[in-house]
Amino acid sequence: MKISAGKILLKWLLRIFMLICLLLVAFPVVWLLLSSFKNQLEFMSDPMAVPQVWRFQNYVTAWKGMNLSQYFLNSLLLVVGTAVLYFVMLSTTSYILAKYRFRLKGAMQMCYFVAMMIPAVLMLTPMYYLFDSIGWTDNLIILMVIYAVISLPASIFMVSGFMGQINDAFLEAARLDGANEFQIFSRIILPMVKPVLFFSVIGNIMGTWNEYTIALTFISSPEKYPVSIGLHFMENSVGDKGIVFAGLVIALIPVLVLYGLFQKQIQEGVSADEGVKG
Amino acid sequence: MTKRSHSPRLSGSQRSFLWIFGVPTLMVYCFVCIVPLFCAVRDSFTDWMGIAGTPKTPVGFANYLEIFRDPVFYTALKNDLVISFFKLLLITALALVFAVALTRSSLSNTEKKIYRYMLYLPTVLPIVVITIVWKLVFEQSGALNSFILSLSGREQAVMMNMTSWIAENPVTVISFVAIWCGTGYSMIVLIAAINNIPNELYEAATLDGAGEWKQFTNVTLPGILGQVRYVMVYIISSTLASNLNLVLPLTNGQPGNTSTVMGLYVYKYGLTAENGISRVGYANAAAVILMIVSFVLCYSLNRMISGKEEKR
Repeated sequence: MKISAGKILLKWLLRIFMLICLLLVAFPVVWLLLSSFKNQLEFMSDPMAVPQVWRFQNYVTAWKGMNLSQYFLNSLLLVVGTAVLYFVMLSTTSYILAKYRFRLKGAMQMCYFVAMMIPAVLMLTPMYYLFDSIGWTDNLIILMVIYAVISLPASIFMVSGFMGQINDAFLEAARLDGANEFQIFSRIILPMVKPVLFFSVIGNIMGTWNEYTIALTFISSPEKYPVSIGLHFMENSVGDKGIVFAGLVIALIPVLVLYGLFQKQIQEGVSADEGVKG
Repeated sequence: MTKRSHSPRLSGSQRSFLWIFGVPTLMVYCFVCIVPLFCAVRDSFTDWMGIAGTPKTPVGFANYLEIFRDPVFYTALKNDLVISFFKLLLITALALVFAVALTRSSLSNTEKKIYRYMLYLPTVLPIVVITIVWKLVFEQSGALNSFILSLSGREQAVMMNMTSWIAENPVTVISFVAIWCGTGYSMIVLIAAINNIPNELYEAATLDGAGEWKQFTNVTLPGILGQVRYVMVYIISSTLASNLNLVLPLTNGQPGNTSTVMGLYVYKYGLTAENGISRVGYANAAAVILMIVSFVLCYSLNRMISGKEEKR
């Protein structure tokens, strides 16, 4: 009797604790959404209240008046360019590391391994001045290349781990049938590791959309700002917090859509990632 | 030598694949990620200001000596340690509780799904959105103070006398936000680990009369120990970079460098200009120290985890 009372208590404690955590996670998002319809006066007088008038105008102002449409377009460009580059580099290099044997392969692996130990963000100062010395800053294409390349090490070992598990007999059979490497790669290898590649690319897309530190360093002209940088400066310069909040909501939409659509794949990918590494 | 003769030679088509994809990727990658490491070492012994074309006067170890005498550097080091410690402790504990609650508790499946969706959500949100929102919560005139006021029923005018959470306890606020957006990943890893424990183990434990707590300590915990260790290593080895990414937009080291971290220390000297001058040589010396710390930290942790795996 005593045990079951304790059990029920524990059960409810857990429920209450989980509910508090849920509220803590949900609160900023809901608050953001509600505040994005207020004007500054309403926001200041009671930040927590539900807006009395729903000012959709805030969204129009943020989108048109604050140049968010331009930033959005830049980010979109950046995300697509990065994802394509990243996909090509990641899949081909992983294949080489998984299935080829050649003299300098150890050195190649070592290179990718080193940067996994030293995150690029920490080396931003020397990286910036290296690019500055050849005039390659303030350029969205260069930023794409940087983004694509710095996210390689984290996923290259996972993807090549999966490719390594593919039975060599498949590849040998295809070679006997006269297939060349490009055909083997695109018709056998790629389809077999689709889920893990998909997970990596989705992660890369979200990472690029959300990235802040490197973009802040490399991009200086306002007309090239991606969304994250545009919002940062908007927050500093725009007095009306309602408009800033509307901008933040707009920036959230793409990630929320992606997360909503692919939540399952993303979370399964996280555990698969750990499965290979751990 | 023997090893080399064993490995079969690449066919022509393999070689072109290597040259078309592998080599260019490696070259671009080395330029972006490896060359800066050497640049950092080279420039760390100079007083360079970062203006292209200006001479770099060698100053020997002066930059390094100055860093080790700079109290701000130790503040940064301490903050990194404190934030990482809170992250390690609380993310691991929270992720463990969440993972158990979302797998082996009496919550309904719908509830579990909602929790799983929501608790991972902070992981995918843009850092700018996260930091702006929490800044507006923890400011003096922020949402938290206004919430406290509305609870106590006093007038908004009192707000001027209230604490600005972010100015007075910046490191606590940073740790809080870091945990807020860092727990989801670890939770998912541990959920997968618990789901991989064979159900028979639980059935056997139930037959032996083990209660839920006993099942947790005797079945769940030993079954996921490897992944718990992985999660802890992950938190520590990613902490230097993620602290910079968080602190830069959240407090920018303010007020008065009290909330700076090592990544930000380098960033401030190298990439922002006080009086129009960046001390790039000095920043590079700090970057070299950071590089060594990061490498030693990640490398030894990785060795530790893979060594333990082999023994299992």
